[in-house]
Amino acid sequence: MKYTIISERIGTVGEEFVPGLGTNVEALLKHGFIESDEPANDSPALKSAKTKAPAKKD
Amino acid sequence: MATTTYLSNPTLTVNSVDLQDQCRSATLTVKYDALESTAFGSTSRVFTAGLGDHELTVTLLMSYAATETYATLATLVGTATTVTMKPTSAATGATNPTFTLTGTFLEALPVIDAAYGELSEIDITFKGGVYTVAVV
Repeated sequence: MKYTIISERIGTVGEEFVPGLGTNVEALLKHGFIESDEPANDSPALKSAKTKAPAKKD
Repeated sequence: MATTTYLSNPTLTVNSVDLQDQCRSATLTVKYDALESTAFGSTSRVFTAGLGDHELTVTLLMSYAATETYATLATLVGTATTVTMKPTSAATGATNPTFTLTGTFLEALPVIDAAYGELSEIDITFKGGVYTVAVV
């Protein structure tokens, strides 16, 4: 995943942002300091298909 | 020998965000638990360093504008992050070292600290973390 700077408070706007050790990337994304090259996915995770239990043999 | 002084104007980054223009005071204290190692034969108490217990306290002008103080800190409270300070904005070097606390914890954030007719300021403290100094 690649991040781009969109706030001057982080660095030069348009340049790639490489998170340092301990950087909270989620906080920077959430408040508009950087953006990710991967689109945000707000849809819930897909559920796994339900499977029928095998019929009991008497 | 001439007296050497330093006019305070340090840089501050919190979670990689430059907050120098919001910061009014800052104190980074490097501290270690003092573990007593005095033993038979000692004539004075002696100590050895235990765990590091470093702390950064800063006073910031509060702002709720985009990418300002509140936006920087709001999601960091209750988590660990990285903070850096330098004596001046000049390049890092032997006479302008960069001090870093990695994995330091922001325990509390006063989301409003207001007094009538005054600029809003907040005092926050980052606790713990690994302390390093860079000179290059």
